[in-house]
Amino acid sequence: MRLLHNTNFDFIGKRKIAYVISAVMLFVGLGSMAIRGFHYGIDFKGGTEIVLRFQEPVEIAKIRAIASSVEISGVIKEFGNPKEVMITTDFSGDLNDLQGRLETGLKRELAQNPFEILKIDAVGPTIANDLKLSAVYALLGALVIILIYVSFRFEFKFAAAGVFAIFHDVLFVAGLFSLFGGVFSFMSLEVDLTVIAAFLTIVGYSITDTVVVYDRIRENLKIRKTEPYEKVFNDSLNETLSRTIITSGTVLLSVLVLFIFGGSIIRSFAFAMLIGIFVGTYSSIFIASAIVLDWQEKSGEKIKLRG
Amino acid sequence: MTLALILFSGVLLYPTFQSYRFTGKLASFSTPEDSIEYVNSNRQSIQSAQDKQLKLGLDLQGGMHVVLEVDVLGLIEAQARNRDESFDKILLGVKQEIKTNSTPIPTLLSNAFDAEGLRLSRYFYDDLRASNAEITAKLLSESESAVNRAKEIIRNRVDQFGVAEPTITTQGGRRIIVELPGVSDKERVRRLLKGTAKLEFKLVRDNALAFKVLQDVNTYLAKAYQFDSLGAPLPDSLLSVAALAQKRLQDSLSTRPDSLKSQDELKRENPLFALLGVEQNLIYTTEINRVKLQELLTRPDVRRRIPTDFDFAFDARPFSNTEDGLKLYRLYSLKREAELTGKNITEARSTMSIDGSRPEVTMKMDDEGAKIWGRVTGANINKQIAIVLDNTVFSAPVVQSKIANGSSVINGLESMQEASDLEIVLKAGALPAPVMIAEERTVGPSLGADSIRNGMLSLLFGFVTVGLFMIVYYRSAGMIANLALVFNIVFVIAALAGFSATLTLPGIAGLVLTIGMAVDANVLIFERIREESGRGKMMKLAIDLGYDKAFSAILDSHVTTFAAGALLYFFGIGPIKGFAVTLMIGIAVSLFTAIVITKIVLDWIHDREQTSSVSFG
Repeated sequence: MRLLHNTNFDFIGKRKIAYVISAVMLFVGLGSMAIRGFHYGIDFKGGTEIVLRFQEPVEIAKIRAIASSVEISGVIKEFGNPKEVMITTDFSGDLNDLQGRLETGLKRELAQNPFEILKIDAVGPTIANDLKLSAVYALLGALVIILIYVSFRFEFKFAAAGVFAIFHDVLFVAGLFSLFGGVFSFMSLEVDLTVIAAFLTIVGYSITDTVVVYDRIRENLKIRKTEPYEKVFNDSLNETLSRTIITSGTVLLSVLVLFIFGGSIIRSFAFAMLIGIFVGTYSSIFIASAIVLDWQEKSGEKIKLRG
Repeated sequence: MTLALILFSGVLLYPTFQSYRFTGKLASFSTPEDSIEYVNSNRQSIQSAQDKQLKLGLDLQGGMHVVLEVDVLGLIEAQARNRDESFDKILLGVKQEIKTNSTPIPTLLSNAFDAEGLRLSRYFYDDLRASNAEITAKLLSESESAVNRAKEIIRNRVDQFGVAEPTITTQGGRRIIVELPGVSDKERVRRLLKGTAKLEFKLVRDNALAFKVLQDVNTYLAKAYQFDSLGAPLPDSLLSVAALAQKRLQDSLSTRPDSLKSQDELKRENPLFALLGVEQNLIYTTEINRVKLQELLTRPDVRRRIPTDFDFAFDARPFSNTEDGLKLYRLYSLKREAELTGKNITEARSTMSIDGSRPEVTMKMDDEGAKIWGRVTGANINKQIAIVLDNTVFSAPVVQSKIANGSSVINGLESMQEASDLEIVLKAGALPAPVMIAEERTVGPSLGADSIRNGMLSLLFGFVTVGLFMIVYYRSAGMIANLALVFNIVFVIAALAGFSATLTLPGIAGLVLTIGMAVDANVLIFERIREESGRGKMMKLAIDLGYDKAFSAILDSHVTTFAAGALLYFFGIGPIKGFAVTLMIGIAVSLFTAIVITKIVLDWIHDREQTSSVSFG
C-alpha cells in the first residue's frame, strides 16, 4: 500500500497563506492567554483536590449543599462520569480536619450511597511555586538544548526556525488550553504537571518532524547544487511527505488510544498530545522550512551545512 | 549480541514473573496457616524476587506521597538572643521569601542581614567576632541536623506503623519526602507524621470551673459579635446547652409556643453553647463544630477572657459516635502550664498487661523527670493528667498512686492500636523542629487498579492498532518492524526493572508513546528503501542504502527527543519523572531495536533465500 507517493504539492509557494493562518491562530491563543489566562491545576496554584467515587450516580448540587453544610467551600464538579466527583478547595495543612468533615457530612446525608476516596492531592504554596519554576526551566532548557544541537548539526538559521516552530506548536496548544480550560466536563484542560510533560513531548516531537525534513533538504542541497533553493526545499518536503504523514498517523493512533482508554487522569495529557501532533506536523511542513527559506533569501548568503 | 540482550532482559524480568507467581500461589491457599507456612519455607526466594521485581508507582498500587517541611526558621528564631525591631523585620521578610524560594533558610537569612549591613553575631551564639559566613555555616549545619533528626524520628514512627517498603528521603535542606505504598489509613498517617512538636503533661481541671469560664466567654461573644453563620447545630438527638436552657425556660413558664425563641435566635444569644453538648461531667462537641470552637477559643480577645492558668484542648480521637455516625470529641479543661514535657521521657513501650487482657503503655523518665513526676503524682492522686501533643489530648489517665521512680504504666486503653499510637506519641516528645505537610498525594487502591487496567488497555490497543497499520502498509516488512516493537517493549520494561525504577501511570503513557515513536524509525527506513528500489536498485542494495541514508535523520530526531526527556527528568517535577524515564529508555532502546534488530532479520532472510521474499508493500 502506498499513500502520497511521488507527490508534487507546492508547499513553499503557499507559505504566505500558512503564515497568515498561523499568525491568526497564535494571535487568538496569545490573546486568550493574556485575557483569560490559564486554568491552573493545583500543582501550580496550590490547593487540595479530593476525588470521590460513589456507588450510585450522584447529583452535584446535592454534594455542593453537603459540602457547604460542613463548611467546605470550593469548586465541585463531575470527574469523568456521574459517579465520580472532584472537590477542589484551598490548600489546607490539616487534611485530617477537611477529610473528616467531608466524610461526616456525606455519611450523614448520603447514607444509602456509600463512597470511597479515590485520591487526594494537596499541594502547598511553596511546592506549587517550585513546581512552576521547574516546569518553566524544563521547557526553556529543552528549547536551548535543541537550539544548540540543531545549530551544531545543521546551521543556526535552521535551528532558530525549528525552535520557532516549536514555540508555534506549544503556544497553539497552550492557547487551546487557555481558551477551553474548564469548559468541558469530560476533561478539565487544566495546566498541571502532566500537561507540562505533554508540552515537552510536543517539543520533542515537533523538532523530530522538522529535523527529518531538514535532513532531506541537507541531502538534496548537496546533490542539486545548481537548482534554486525554493525548488529544492519544496521537493524535499514532498519526498518526506509520506513519512511525515505515516509517522504522525501512528503516533496519533497511540495517543488517540490513550485519549479514549487512558481514563480521566491522563485525558488532558492525551488531548495536548493529540493537538500537538497535528500542529507539529503542520508546522514542520508549512512553517519551519519556509522560514529558513525566507530568512535565507533576505540575508542573501549561501547555505553552509554541516553533517 | 542481540541474543545476549534478550537473555539479559529475561534475567531482569524473571523476578517480576516469580513474584507474581508467589502472589498467585499465596492467594490460592484457603487458610492463613497454609500461606504463612508457605511464606516461611520460601522466605528467601520471595524476598529476593520482591527486591528485584518491577516496582509499581504509588499511583498504580495506591499509597501516600507526603512532603513534609521542617520549620527551620522557627528553629533559628528560637535560638536568637537580644531580638530587636530590625531583627524581627528581617525575619518577617525571610518568612515571606521562603514561600517562593527554596534556597536553604540560613543562606536567605544571611543574605538579608548582609543587605541590611547587620551582623548575625549580634543575635546568634556568643562569639561577637564571628563573621556572618561563619554563623551561616553553623546555622546551616544545625538546621541540617534538625532535618535529619526529624527524618529519623519520622522513619521510626513509619516503621512502627508497619508499612512495607517505605521510602523516606530529605530534599533541599528543609523537606522530607515520605512515600508509603499501599497505605489507606490516611488520617492515622497524617497524625503520626505531623503529630510533632510539643509533648506535655498537663493537669486536667474541674469541669465546673470550665463551665464558668465557658459561660463568661459565651456572654462576651453574644455581646461582642453579631454571628450570622455559625457551625451546624447539634442534631436533635443531642441536647445542646442552649436547647436545655430553652427547655427549662419553657417548663418553668409554660409559655405559649409562639413565645419560644427560634433556633436562630437561640444561637445568636448563645454563640458558644450552641456548639457544645454537656452531660454530667463531660463537655463535648461534634467534629464539625470543633473547628469553629477552636477558632472561637483561640481569638485573641477571647483568650484574654480565659483565666491565665486555664487552657482548653480537644481529644485527638473521637471518644464516641452517635447513632447517625457523628463523631464526638471531648473538650478538656487543662492547667495551662505543663507539669512535665516530653524531653524528660526516656522510654515508652506498648504491651499487653501481665494477665494479657488489656493493652497498656509503660513509660520511663530521666532523674529530673522522675523527681517532678513523683511530686506531681503525689499531689494529684485520683485526678487526671492529660498527655497533650500539639495541643490535642491523646490520653488522660487517672493518677492511682504516687510514682516515685518515674516508671509509670498507662492503662485503660481501648485497643492495641491506641496503645502503640500512644507509645509513638510519647517517644516523639523531643522532635527538634515542628514539621508540617507541604504536599500530599494519596491514591486509593481502587484508583490504582483502575489505572493499571486503563494503562494496560491503552498499551494493548496502541500496540494492536499501530501493529495492524504497519502490516497493512508495509506487509512482511511491517511484520519485522512489529517484532522489533515487541522487543522494544520487553527491553524497556526489563530496563526499568534493572534500574529498579518504578512504573507509574505517566510511565505507561510514555510506553504507549514510545510505540508510536519507535515505528517512526522503521517508517523512515522503509520509505527510504521503497524510494531506492523505486529508482531501480537491487533489493539488497536498496535495503543497505535505506538503512544508511535514514540513519542521520533517525539519530537527530532521537537525540532531540531524548534531550527533552532528559530535561524533564533533570528538573524532576514529581510524579512525571516516571514519564521521562520510560520515554528516555524507550527512545534509546528503539534506536537499537528499530535499526539493529530489523536489519539482522532482513539480512538473515536474504542470506537464506538469496532472492527477496520480504515485501515493503
